Order: sequence, then C-alpha cells, then structure tokens
Amino acid sequence: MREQELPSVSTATNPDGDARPLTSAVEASSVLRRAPQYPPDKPEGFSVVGKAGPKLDSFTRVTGQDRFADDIFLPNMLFGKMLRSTQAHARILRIDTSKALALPGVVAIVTGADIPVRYGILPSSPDEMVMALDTVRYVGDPIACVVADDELTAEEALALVQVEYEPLPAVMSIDEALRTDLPQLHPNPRRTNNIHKEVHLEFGDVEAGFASADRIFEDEYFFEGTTHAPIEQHAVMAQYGADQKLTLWAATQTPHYLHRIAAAVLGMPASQIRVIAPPVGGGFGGKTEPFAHELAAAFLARKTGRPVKITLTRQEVFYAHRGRHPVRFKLKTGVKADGTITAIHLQSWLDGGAYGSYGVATTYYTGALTTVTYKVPAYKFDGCRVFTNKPPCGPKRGHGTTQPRFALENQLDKIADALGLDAAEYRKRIAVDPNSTTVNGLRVTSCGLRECIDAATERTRYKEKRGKLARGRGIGLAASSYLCGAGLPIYWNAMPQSGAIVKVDRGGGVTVLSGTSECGQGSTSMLAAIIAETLGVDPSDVSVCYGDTDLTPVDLGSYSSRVTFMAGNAARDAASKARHLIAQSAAERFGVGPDRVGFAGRRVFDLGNRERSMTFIEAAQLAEARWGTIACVGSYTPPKLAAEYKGSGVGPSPAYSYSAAVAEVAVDLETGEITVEKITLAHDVGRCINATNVEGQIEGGVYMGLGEALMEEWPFRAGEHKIPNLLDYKTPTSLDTPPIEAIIVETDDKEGPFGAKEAGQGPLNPVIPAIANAVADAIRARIHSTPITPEKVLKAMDAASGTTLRLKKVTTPSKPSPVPV
Amino acid sequence: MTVAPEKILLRLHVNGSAVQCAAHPNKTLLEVLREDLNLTGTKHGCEMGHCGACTVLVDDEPVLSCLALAIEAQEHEIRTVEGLADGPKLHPVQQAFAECGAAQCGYCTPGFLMTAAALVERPGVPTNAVIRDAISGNLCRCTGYEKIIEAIALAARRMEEAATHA
Amino acid sequence: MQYYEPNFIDEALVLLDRFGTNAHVLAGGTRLRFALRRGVAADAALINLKRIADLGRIEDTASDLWIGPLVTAAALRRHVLVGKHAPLLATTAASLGAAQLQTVATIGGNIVSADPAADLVPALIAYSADAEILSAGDCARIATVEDIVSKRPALQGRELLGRIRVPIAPHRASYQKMTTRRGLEMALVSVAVSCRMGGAVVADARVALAGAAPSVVRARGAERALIGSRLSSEVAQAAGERAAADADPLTDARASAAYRRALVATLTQRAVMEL
Repeated sequence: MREQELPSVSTATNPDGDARPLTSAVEASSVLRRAPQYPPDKPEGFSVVGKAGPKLDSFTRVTGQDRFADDIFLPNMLFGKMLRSTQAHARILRIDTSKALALPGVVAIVTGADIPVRYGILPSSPDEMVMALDTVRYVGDPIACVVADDELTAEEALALVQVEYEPLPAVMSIDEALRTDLPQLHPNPRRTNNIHKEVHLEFGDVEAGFASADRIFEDEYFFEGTTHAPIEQHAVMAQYGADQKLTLWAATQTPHYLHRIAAAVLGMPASQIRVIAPPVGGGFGGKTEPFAHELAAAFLARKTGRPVKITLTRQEVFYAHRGRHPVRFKLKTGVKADGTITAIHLQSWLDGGAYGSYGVATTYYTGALTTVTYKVPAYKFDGCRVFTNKPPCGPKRGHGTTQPRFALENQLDKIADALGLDAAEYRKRIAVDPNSTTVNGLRVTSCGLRECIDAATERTRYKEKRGKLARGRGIGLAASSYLCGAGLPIYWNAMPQSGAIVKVDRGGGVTVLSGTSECGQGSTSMLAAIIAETLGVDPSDVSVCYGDTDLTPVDLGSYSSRVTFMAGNAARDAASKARHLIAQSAAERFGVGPDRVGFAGRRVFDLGNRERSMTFIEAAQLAEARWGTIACVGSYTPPKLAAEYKGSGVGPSPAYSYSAAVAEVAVDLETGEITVEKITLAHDVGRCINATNVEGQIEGGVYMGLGEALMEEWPFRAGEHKIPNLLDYKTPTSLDTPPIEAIIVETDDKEGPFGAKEAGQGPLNPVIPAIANAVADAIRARIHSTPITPEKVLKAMDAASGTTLRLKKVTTPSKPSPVPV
Repeated sequence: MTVAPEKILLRLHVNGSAVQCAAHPNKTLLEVLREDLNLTGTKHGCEMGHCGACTVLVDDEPVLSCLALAIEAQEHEIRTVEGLADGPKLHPVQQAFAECGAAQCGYCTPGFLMTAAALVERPGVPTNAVIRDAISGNLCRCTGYEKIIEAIALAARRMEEAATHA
Repeated sequence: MQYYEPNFIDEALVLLDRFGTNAHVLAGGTRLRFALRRGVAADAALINLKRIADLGRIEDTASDLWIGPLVTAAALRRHVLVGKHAPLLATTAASLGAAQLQTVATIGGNIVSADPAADLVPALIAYSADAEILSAGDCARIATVEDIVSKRPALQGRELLGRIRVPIAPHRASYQKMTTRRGLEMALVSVAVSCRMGGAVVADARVALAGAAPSVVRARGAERALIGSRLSSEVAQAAGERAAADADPLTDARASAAYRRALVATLTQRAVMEL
C-alpha cells in the first residue's frame, strides 16, 4: 500500500479573520515534479493547484443530500416503463395496446409510430428511433412505452401489450455480419452484408517499411466486449409545464447533445427545452448519448401534461449498453534487429451491435492512436465495423483505443523477447518524442512517456524481476497514450467546444457556470480549483453551477477526457478576465501597473510590496464600483489540428496523456487462477490540479481495466444476452482488486489549464496488456484474447507444452448432459 | 386479472424516529424508504441483492434493503445514511470518506458508509484484509476501492483514539 | 395478494395447504425479487416464515446436530455448536456471497433453491445430513439432502422444509471453492470432503461436488478411493481423478465442462490433502 500522509482539512482561518475555513489541503507526496514552471500570473507558484484534498461535493455526497435523477419526485408524476423486444431480429406485424390501455391507472401508451423520427448521436449515422417502427434489432430494443400512476401498474400494463413478430434470421457475430446471405439490419443498397463502416488509411511507405524490416511479427487478437455497469441505473424525469416548456432531469454525461436531439425528435424549438444534468452516478461513457427512455419520457410528459419518470432496471441498463466493442485484430509489425519499428499494418473488425451510436468514431479510434505512443514511420490501418443483433456498442472509457492497446503491447513484449531486448528499455527507446508529429499527422506536444516507464518500473524493480521470477509468478509492463478531448466536435460547427461564465460577488464568492456534467470524475472541483487559483481565493469560495442548458454556456460534455483541458481552459479564460478587471482597479489603488498585482490567500496585493494589500472582498467591490457587475465569459476552441485526409478528424487532440502500468501477478498453475497482487501506474497528467482526484481517477481506471482483463464478458445465446445482471456479469469486488499505487508525473503542458492534461481514461489502457504480459511472464505462454480466464491460462500452458495435461479428457463414459435448468 | 394489494399502515423506526406510512405490503424496505419516506439517500443499483448500493443498518447489522420487506422491518431499528451524522457533525466514516476521496460519483457511497459504519462501530481497528472482506458485498465502479479502504481505516483509527481518550 | 406471518409451523402448513401453488414462501429473502414479481395474483399469498421460532434453532443431542431451516449463514458462521460439531458448515457459510447476504441467506433456502453451485449444500452432503419435510396432516418424512436437491423442484407444492439433521461423529473435513471473482460469488466448482478415521485408515468418506453436475452430488468413486486407504498424496490424486470421472459438468457462460472437470480433480485432491 502507498504510504502517504492522508489529506486533511485545514481549519486555519484566513488573515481577514474570515471564519470560513481554507480547504486547500496538503501537498501530495506521489507527484513527480519537474522543475516547477509557473505561469506569468503565478510567479510565486500555486496555492491551490497541485494540492491534495477533498472534492468540493464530497460532503454532500457522503450525507445522501445530493439528488440524482431518480431521487427527484414531482407532484402528480407518472411512472414510465418500456416494452422491449423479446426477439433478436424481427419485423413487427402488429402491436395491440388496447388491453394495456384499459388497465386502471394506465394513462398513456405510445409506440414507434407516434415518434417516427430517426436520430443518432453522430450526424453520419441517424439510424435509431425512440421505439421500433417496423423492425426490432436486438432483444431489449424498445417497442412501446407505458405511463401509469404507479410503477407496478406500468409494469403490469407491459404484460398486456400484444406484439406479433415475424422473426428474421439473427446476425450474432462478426463472421455472420460479413456473410451476404443474411438479412441486413439497416437496408443498405450499396452492400450485400452487414458492414456499417469501413476505413482504409495508409501513411508513409508501408511496403518499403516491411521490406526493410529484419523481422516481421504477425498476430491475431480478440478483445471481448464489456459494459460500463455504472451503479446508478439510467434515469430521467421529464416535466412539461403549462408554459409549454419542457424540462428534463437526466442522468447524462452530455446534456447539450440530449438538448439538441430532444429538440429534433420532439419537433420543439430548443429554446423551449431545458436539460438539467444532476450528479451522475457513474458514466464511463455509458451515458454520453440520448437514450430512448429519455426521449419517450419527454414525449409522454408533453402528451399527458404530467411529469414522467423512467428509471431503467438493471437488465435494461445492459440493453441500453453502448459499451466496449468486441474487436478482432490482425497486427503485423516490421522491426529492425534492434527493435526499431519500420511499419505497422493493423486490421480491426468491430462488433457494433444493432445501431451506429458513436461507432464510426470508435472504428477510427481502433487505429488512430497507434502512432501516438511509439514511433511508427509507416502505418496502414483497415477498420471495419459491422451491425449485429445485439445491444448497440459505443464508447467506454478509452473509447476504441483500449482494444488495440491490448494487441500492440502484447506483441511488443513478444518482439522484445524475440530480439533479446529489455522490454522497458525497448519501449523507452521507441517512445515518441515530445513536440513531434506522427506519421498520420497527429501533433504531440508534452509527453512524459519515458518518465512514466521509469517511474513504474523503478518502483516495482521490474527489470530485476521480469523473466527471473519463479514459474507461477510474473510481472508485466505496458504503456499507452490518450486524448485530452477530441479535437473536433461530433457535429460540424465553428463554435467553441466549451464555454464558461465567471461571476464575482461583492461578498467575495465566485460562481462559475459551466455546461459540464459531474459524473464523479471531479469536474466540479477541477473548475473550482482553476478559478480559485486564478483569483487567489479558496476553492470553497467557488460555487459551481453545471449541466443546465438554460443557465450554463454550452460544453460538449463529459466524454473523450475533454473536461479538464477544455472546460478548464474556458473557466480559466473567464476567470482571467475577471482577474484582469480586479487587478486594474486594485492597481489604480496601489498606484502600480496591473502586472504587479498578485492574488493569493483571499488577498490582492502589490507583488513588489506585499504590505500593500487588500482583501479579495475589498478588491471585488472596488472592481464592481469601477467596472460594474463583474461577470466574465470564457471559451475554449481547440487549435486546428486535423490533417488533410478523410478520417483525419478522429485522433487529433490538443494534447495527449501518457501512462505506464506494471502488474505483478501470481498464477495457480493447477487451476489457472490469477491473483493480481499489485498494480503500479505512472501517469503523465501534465500538471496535477488535485492529487486526491488524479489518484482517484488513476485507481478507478486501473480497477476498471482489471475487470476487463480478468472477468468481464458479453456472452449471447439464442440471440439473448446471457448475463444481464450484476451477479453474473462480473465486476471486481474489493477482494479482487489489489493495492494500487498511483504515481503522478507532471510535464506541464503548454496549452493545458495551468499545464494540466487528462486522467480519466488514459490510465485504463495499459492495465489490461500489463496484466496479460505479467501472466505471460508467469506461465511462459501468451494469451491472445480477453478476458484472461483461468481456463485460458491452462489452455495456453497446454498449447505451449504441446500437451493436454491440464484439460485432459476423462475417458469414463458420462451420461449425456441434460439441458440446463 | 391482477390487482395491487391494499395498502397497510406501516410503523417503522428510522434514524431514531417513529414514522408511519401507508404502503403496499409487498413493497421492499428500499422502496418505502425512498418513495414513501422521501429518504432518497439510500440508492438502488440492481434490486436483486447483487450490488450493495441499498445497504442500510437493521439493528446495527448491514442489510440489503431491496431484499427486505418494509412490513417485516417494523419492529427493528433502521438506520440510513441520513441518520449517520449527529446533527451537523459527520459520522467518522462520512468525514473520512469525504477527506480521502472515497466518494467519486457518490452513488454507491451510502451503501458503503452503512457497511463501514457497522464495521467501525465495533471495538478495535480492523485490518485492511478485514475491511476488504467486510465491503466485498458493495460494488463500486469509480474508485478501485483503494480510497474507500483508506477512509474506513482512518475512521476506525479515529474512533479508537476517541474511545481511548474518553 | 395476501401477506401472512405465521408464528407456528402448523399455521404455515395450513396456509401452504390452502393456497397451494399460489403460495410464495419467504425465508431469508435472497430471492425476494422472484417471490414478489410485482403484482402477484390477487388470490396469492406471501407467507413469511421468519416469525416461526421453531424453525430458527440450533440444538444438539448426543447423536445429532439439529439446525432449523431459517438459521442464517451468519449464524452458522459463529454458532458454537456448529463450530464444534460441523465446522465445515461454518467455513462454507463464511464463503457465501457477502456479509449482507450471509445476514439473510438461510440454510433452508440454500437447500430448497437446489442450485447446482449452492454454498452450504456440499458441506451438508459431505456430513450425510438429512432433513424433515413437513406437510399438513402428519405426513412428515425424512430425506437426505442429496435427494432433496436432486429434485426439480426440491419440494412439492404443499411441503415445507423442516429441521436439518447432521450426525455427530469425530471426523476430518475440508472445503475447496473456486470462483470467477472472490466476493459476491457462487462457486464455479467446490468440493467438500468429510472422513471418519479408524486409526490411520479412512473408515468412511463423503465427497460432495458443487458446480460439477446438474445438482450438488456425491462423488462415489472418489469416496471408494478414500475408504480403507491411508491418506497420502497418491490417494489424494486418485480421489481427484475418480471425482473428475464422477462429475458430470456442463459448459456454460462461465466455464467449459472440460475445465470444470479439471477443477474437480484439482480441488478434490487439494481437499483430501488438507484433511
């Protein structure tokens, strides 16, 4: 376990005699700092940024005071339930709702015919409807929605809706989707199969690259589908007022996208719709697009004039899905004898499920970031996403980059071993350089990859251990990189990706309005810290109003690890403008130039003479008297980064984070059981804004990767999800999760807010291959698919030794197995 | 044809107060707490006993409120997250969870807090292994449990110190 | 729906008799969701047994340990008589689900639900336990736990599980459980072994396998390999191989039949080594 002083709340009162405690807490000990580079307005260093301490909303979270979407109850409300398809693929011949409608307490029932509008989160694939119009495409596809006076009646009404289906052959795998003799899920006259999206990109001279290689490695991998499984089931409350305005409280990471699509689907002006994102009980990418139940609730609230709440059951959450795509890979890498990569050809096939979701972007992401971790001079990528009759796949933490990272890092260890190279030194040698451009035109700025590898391997004594531990014990390393926000918005526009309004109250309080969604990642605290640092106040002085399309300027949402970089920069922009106004009026009072005004500890002072100072409250009032109300706007638009080729829009980001993970495992060679004993992860976060929070993101990413590495699966039988519940869908418990050591590496990104980059998604990516590499070290055999189950361990050992020692057939005749109950 | 059963009068003891409400006899304790008593601090994640989010204390034992009928909880003392703090003074587990960053999205947190409270209110300071075992019925998807374990250990130490001083 | 909380066994039996297939019996509540099935029929009855004190006791006589079906896993885990006479039951109870589930899960529910991977049943079968099966009108019968869990459903409509009897005898016992994850989990495969020794020789043995057949079963071949032998690593290996032959596992989402069979061999071998 990490030995670190626990953060505590400082109760020191500030020099004004102001009774409010300063909550900026202790210095974090896990941060590897480079020589501090402070921005011009912070010549003396930071007073808030970089400290550890509780999140702003921690205290209301631990008392049960916060209201999540399902915690909202309104007078006269109705409860909605969705009828879902029992067929994987079928035409709907008839829907009879009359019996259900006759049930006392049932107020309304709607079906697909009531809302025949196609939509989709990506403008390029508008293939969804709120409820099926004529075809259902997976078990769980919504068909009708009932609202009733209570939940029980709504559930009973569902059983009374009669649906007549004409079953169609179901397409249940990538291979089946590529066949031409099965029906298309979405009619496409240009194809004869169920391919949704194909991508073919080539950069540099790939043929010459392979020709100049001393060795070529070719492997196939399969990454299993997984789901987010946030503990909060999706929920929405919709209210349509007598003023004909619609308000939605939705558990969503993207209130702006819900706002846009609700307007389009309901045929209402967006000005008449307000979307509020209450605290979200975990998202991980699973709540980043508008869902059928949200739009159905909105429609029914308008239709009935009564508030409508719909909360998904856990089973329905598995159907809503948008989880990690199962992906099959072929990976071909050419290397010189010293390991230098000469060319990579990566092919991916994604099992997309029934609808587009973010899938076009996911397809690109399985290839786009291959070049951002290690130097690749020539690169060919072929991606192919198919439709299958399963719940739709979408973005999950690491969106599309997690799967190839498993393949790439697995093969890289194999290359290192084949060439007799130290796997850590090898990775450092081929790591991309800061301030470079990749072969596919991605701009890399700050990059702490080598530092991360050093930190993680030194802490674990990796080099002394790898290949030298007793059989059954192993250590594995992997590295990765991730975006700090997608460089382009998902719908084309020239507006900022993030906006913020900062208002300074004459009582010294500061309010920021930001369209972000707080899903536990700490965006609220991040905004407060950035504003507090800029204005020299305490984070507790900052009130954050988020996720409300009536009140807050647009922020595209909490996805693609964009919030710290983009919303943080927008907030910093707005706060800097407020600071400038306050500095000017204070400078006039001090009789110095505004550049000489400093802000810290709730005071504003002359940097040249600290005696000359005033409280922040005095300075704020002086400014308000001088300029009028102090309310400033800020926005952030990423620089133009995309190169000039089709598909170049996916991959560019204003910065990339870097991570290196080391996993230490013990494997029971008889049962194949894997015990992960420790995971150490070093992450280049640019600059750490709050160490407690960054560590929390790293630990959470490690944990989520652990589950995908070892146990999470997405199995189907006879067209049906086999395990849509939290007992059979295995997420790691406290007994499965090892001690996690988070090491924060700082590189001070020039464009990030105070140098900061992301920590929300990147740290997940290296964990899965690190565990795979550790297991390989322990059993001297490689496993090419996830999850790495005990059974696969025994099979791999058998395959490596050319025996069937461990999974031997028992010859005693056994009765034929009966059908499972 | 099925009909909802008649409502009955429930007399419950929740967070030190006697409360009454009318509810259907087949309602779970979870549903009555949230829907009839407006105690929405207790969360639900599965309603099948698979996640621990709905954990409350019944006579100081952690119980999944989705697996208990409200009607059978009538003669017992129920504690929910709303009853953990002593007025404005947070319970040591609440204080430690907030300080350590043990609550990220905060949705599983009330369930963890109740399980943790039952653990730390027993005498002695539990080892990390005991803590891991005690919370193994509560799923968290955000934290990786690291800071939750830290927080529970911190709360237990503080309670032990307070008991020693007292 | 009507709700009943009988105080005595006879009342419960009368209710069961009256409502027949419309009766839903509630013990611990781990399957409450299935019992409730929102909006159960108007003429249905939910019969909550928790108030029947006679079903919740643990007692011993000179020859037997009697455990009421409402005894929870948490109680098994800490009860002094269980620790003294049937320690394997305490061990298996401690591995059941998680603390919150142990608080409510009952030994009776564990038997009656007849899950092939039930946590408490392997220990009961290894201990040669049997149980009373009660029904209205004095027609109680006794059946072995192995027989009860092999039936689908385990009990007939108007029957109620009574007390469970575990014979008391000096013995050695051990338990091995393999799971996909370590908390909140049922067994992938588990093995319970109990032996009575005659000097250094195994006089009698029971080997029970969970997750290895459509119900929890005895591995009779493995038992034969143990009886009359002196415990050794060779005997343990032979018992493991025999147990694997006795097993009749299924392939499902969690593991293949071949893997489960391999686990049966390894876990049986380990369980015997631990005796």
